[in-house]
This record gives sequence, structure tokens and C-alpha cells, in this order.
Amino acid sequence: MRVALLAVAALLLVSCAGPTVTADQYRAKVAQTAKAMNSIVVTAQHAARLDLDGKMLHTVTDTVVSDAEQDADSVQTTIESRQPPDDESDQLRQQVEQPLQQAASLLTDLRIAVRDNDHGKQRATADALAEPLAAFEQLSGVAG
Amino acid sequence: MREDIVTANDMLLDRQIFDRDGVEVGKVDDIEVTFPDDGGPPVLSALLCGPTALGPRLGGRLGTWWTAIGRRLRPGDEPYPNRIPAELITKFDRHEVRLSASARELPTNRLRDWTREHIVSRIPGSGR
Amino acid sequence: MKGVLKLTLGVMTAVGGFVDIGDLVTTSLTGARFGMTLAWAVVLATAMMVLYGEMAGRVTAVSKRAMFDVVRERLGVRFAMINLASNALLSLLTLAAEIGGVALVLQLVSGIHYLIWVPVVGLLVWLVIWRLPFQALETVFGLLGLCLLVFAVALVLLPADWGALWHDMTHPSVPDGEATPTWLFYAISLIGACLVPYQVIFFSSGGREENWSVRDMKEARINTLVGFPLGMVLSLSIMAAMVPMLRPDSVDVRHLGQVALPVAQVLGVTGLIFAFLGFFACVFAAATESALSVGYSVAQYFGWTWGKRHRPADAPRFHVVCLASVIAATGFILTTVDPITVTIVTVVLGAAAIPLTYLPLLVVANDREYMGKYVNKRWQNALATTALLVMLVVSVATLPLMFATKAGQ
Repeated sequence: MRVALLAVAALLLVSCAGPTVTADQYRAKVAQTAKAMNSIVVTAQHAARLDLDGKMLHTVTDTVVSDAEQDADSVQTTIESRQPPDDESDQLRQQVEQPLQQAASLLTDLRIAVRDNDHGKQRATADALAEPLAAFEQLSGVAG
Repeated sequence: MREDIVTANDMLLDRQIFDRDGVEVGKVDDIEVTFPDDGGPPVLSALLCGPTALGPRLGGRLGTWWTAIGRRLRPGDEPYPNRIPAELITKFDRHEVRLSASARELPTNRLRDWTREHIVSRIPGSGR
Repeated sequence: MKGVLKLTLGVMTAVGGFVDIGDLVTTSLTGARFGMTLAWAVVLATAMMVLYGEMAGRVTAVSKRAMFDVVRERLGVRFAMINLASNALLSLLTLAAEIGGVALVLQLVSGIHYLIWVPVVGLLVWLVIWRLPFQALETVFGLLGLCLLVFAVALVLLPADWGALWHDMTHPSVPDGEATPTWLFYAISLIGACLVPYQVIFFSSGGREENWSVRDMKEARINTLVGFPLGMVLSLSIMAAMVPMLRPDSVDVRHLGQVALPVAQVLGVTGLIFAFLGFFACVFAAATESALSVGYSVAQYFGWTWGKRHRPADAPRFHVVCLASVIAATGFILTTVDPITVTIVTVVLGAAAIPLTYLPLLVVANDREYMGKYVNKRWQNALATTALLVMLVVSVATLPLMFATKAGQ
């Protein structure tokens, strides 16, 4: 019983690491963020494009894109809660923040376009996501 | 009453008890053994069933807790567990214990009756 | 015809127990992230399941008692109580995850938020347990679950690099950019997802519900030999189907909608409908199975009357336990905890608890008093003991790997 409690406590400690990190850890966090955003954006693009090809149930596209929007939101919140420990890390933060915000707002636009059945906007937004995607692909390799 | 010599652990404890119609009564949670007046060897006088019988066998804090719950559930806080007199046993082997009485007549039926009356029969479709 | 119908218990157990929300999530997750390099874990788990499933069926048919029924007699009150507690807790968590999973599928199809579906699903699960006859339960869900074969069909149509897929399957190695501990952690998750405890309890209790005797042993064997490998084929199809579309970007699969995308790509809306029917059937079946197994294990431990073959009025305590389980699990999922997260946690905990379920089975299958001449043969014991050692290694490695990889990040 006691062992179980200790295990749970240890797990909590491990997962709720405090906001202050080393430069290496911060770089790893940024790479992680970029990878996660990569997944999210690619998923949303696939769903939107398949939908435009008439291969999707509308409710599925809606759910997938809305989930992507929410996931992007929470990724953004997570990285913003971390304090960059030095100037170099701060530069990294700026590098990732720009595509993050761009992607987040594009995903919101995409969700609205899907709900409104606005095919033109849906196509344009899905294509526009390529730009932040490229930034994320590059940043994923940051931790080496 | 049988005169066979039997080791409690091997043959009796934790065996499934069935009544004369094959309905499950419970498990042998513990046994009651009486020392006869004439100084002979101890004799099985009853099977014991229920949390107050099982608790002490579980041991440790879990067992104490289980016994306490069991005691709370008994009518009038009577501490002695449900007793199935040994005279009712018609057969026991390595797999099961059979009784000559019906489950309905035994004290072990209380929880079953209570859940049936207060919960199950209130839900439509229980009798089918 | 009757023979085909009788196969459905094995198929349903495989489909509902094997391919449940835990399996769907872990196979698609690992397929998208690691390709087929973890397929061996599914194959290994299936082999162990076939071995132990056959034992469970044999024990039930020969002793005419459900496996858990016998655990208390053979392994002692205290050990059986620990077993009961851990099985019940895991099955409850699983039940919660499955109910959440069904709600997520319904959200995907209807557009209505999953939390609204949760109580509806809970009620449906309970109604099935309360009223639907066992045979009907097996047949309907067994057959519907086969809709998941759409993933195998999709796989054929997808631009899959068969050479690479086969190579990864037969020469497993940690992919570039991934750490070995993480890879191993997901291997363990896959094994945990396939070897869920409630599966054995349900299979064995189901055998009693069907009144298996020595005559039915052959049928029980076929169930195991057909059912579980079928579940394996379904699982591997899903894993492989993720590769062409999602592996290149190493997409992190966290939602059921993502799992369906490859099917949509090649089979469009029709494919999606089959996929969701299959999801629904498998996950719903798993929900009823896990709820029933809580009822089965509790009632069998205490010696109460149990089983769907009785009228509820004749097995009141069993049904009350099932009802309470459904209510508790539904309540838990209604706290808005992410069902996919619950799934992953449950699968990992399950991996840690595997030996607790399977060791008693090995002990009982060797008990001459119960099994008579149908006791385990020497080669079966050799295989089963090896499997148990593997299970122990998996179990012991689970928590350290979970900490080391921060739950697979």
C-alpha cells in the first residue's frame, strides 16, 4: 500500500516538473512542441483535404479538426508556461511562437470553414497550414 | 453424521456450498468445531458463512476491516457469523458441499433477499 | 450451421476482449509512430493468449466451474482477495475507458458531444447485461465486430510498401529518432492491451453460461485457436493501415478520428461507416464484458449465484454488482477525464498486473483433483511457464519504464 502511494507521488513529481528548466531541457521541450504541432497540423490537413474530396463524413471532419484546434491550444499553453532560462532559449521561444500562433489561428479558421461548409476557405486554410508546418518540421530537429 | 477424518484446509474451507436444489448458498468461510462433553476428539458442528467469518481468515488490516463491516450488517449487531448446522450436510467432497435444506431456510440468504427485494425487483424485467 | 454459431463465443471474446479501445488506441498509436517494428509484441501476446485461453476453456469444461470460482479454493482466501481486488479495479477502469470510447465513436458519427452520449452508453451497457440473452450478445457483437476487417481491405488499397512492412515485422528494431526505452514501453503497452485480465474471466464464465462439458472441449479449443488469432489479424491490420498515411510524419494518434483517416482515404464514406460499426461493436462488447467480469469475479469469490442464464431475481447480488460497476464507471468518465488517457493508463496498469491473473490459471490447470486426466501436458506446462516468465518480466519492467520514458513521450 505504502509502495503504491510512493509510486504515485513519484509519478506526479516526475510529470509536474516545475516551470524552470535548463537550456538543454528547454531546447528539448521546443523540439517536442514542434513535433506535436507537426502531428496536429498534418492530421487537420488530411481530414480537411479528404473532406474536400468527398471521402469523409462531415461530422468526422468536424470532430477531427476541432480536436486539432483544441490540441494546438493546449500545446501552446504548455510551452508558454515554461520560462526560457537564457537568451538563446528565449530566441528559440520566439522562433516557435510565431508558427504556433499562426497554426492555432489557421486551425480555428479551418474549423469555422468546415462548419460553414465553405469549401473555398477550407482548401485555402488547409494549404496555408503548410507554412507553419515547414517551420515545425525544421524545429523538430532542434534538440539533435 | 460422518465419522471420516478430514483436514479442514483440504476438504472444507472455501468450498462452494449448494442447497438441495443446487442453488448456491455461499462458500465455507470458516468452520465451527465443538469439543464433546465426553472428552472425545473435536467434531464439526457447523459451517460458518459471511464477512464476520471470512474477515478473521483474511488477516491483517483488511481482515479487521472486513469483519467490522460484517458486524455492522448483522441484525442487532450479533457478532457470531451465519451458522449452517453440520446436520444439514449431505455430501462433501473436494469440490463442493451439499445440504439437505433449501437456501431459503438458511440465515445466509439475508443479503440475497435484501438485494432482491429492495433493488432488483424494483427494476422492470427482473422476473422475466 | 450450429458449428459456425458455436464459434461465435471465441470470436466475440477475441473481438470484444482483444480488440477493445485499449487495443485500438495502442495498435494505431504504435503503427503511426513505430511502423510495424512492434508487431512482434502483438504476435507474442496472441500466442500467450491462445495458450492460456485453451487452459481456461479446459478448466471450465472439465471442472464445470468458472476459473475464478476455483481460485479461492486452490490459492487461498487472501491471495484470491488480492486477485479479486486488482481484477475488479482494472475491469472498472477498463469499463470506464470502453464507455468513453463508445461515446467518442458516437460523437464522430453524430456530431453530438461525447459527454452527452456517456450516460446513454452506460444505460445501454447495463440494459444488455440485464436483458439480452447471452447467445444473442455473442452473435450480434461477434459478427458486427468483423466489420473491422475493413482495415485489412483498406490496407490492400493503400500505397503500402509491403516490403518495408514485412521487413519491420520480421526484423524488429528501434526506428531512427526513437529511444529504446520508449519503444519497449510501447511493446509492454501492446502486450498489456492484448492480455487484459477480464478476458480470461469472461471466457471462462461464459463457458459456464453455455454449460460447457468435456464434450465441448474441442469446441472451446477451436474458439481459442480461431478467435484470438483473428483478433490478432484485425489488430495488425489496423497497425499496418496507419503506416502509409501517418508514419511519414510520425503522427501522434490521440483521437479515434485519426485512426479512421486511412480508411477514408481509400474507401471513402462507405469505409468509414464500416470502421465505425466495427469500433462500436468491439468497444461496446468490451464494455459489457468488463462489467460482467466484475460481477462474475465478485459473485464467484463469495459463492453467490451468478450468471446471465438466471433470471435477475435469482441472481440479485450478481446483478447489483454489475449495475454498481456501470454506474461507477459512467460517473468516472463523466468527470471529463479524457477516455483515451484512461485507456492508456489502464493498459499499462494491466501489463503490471498480468501475472496475478494468469498464474492462478496455470495452477488450477495442473490440479489433478479438478482436472483428472485433462491436466496440463508436459509440453503445455513448458510453454505456459515460459510465457509466465515473460509475463513476469513485462510486469516488473512496466513501472520503471513508465517513469523512465515519462509514459512514452
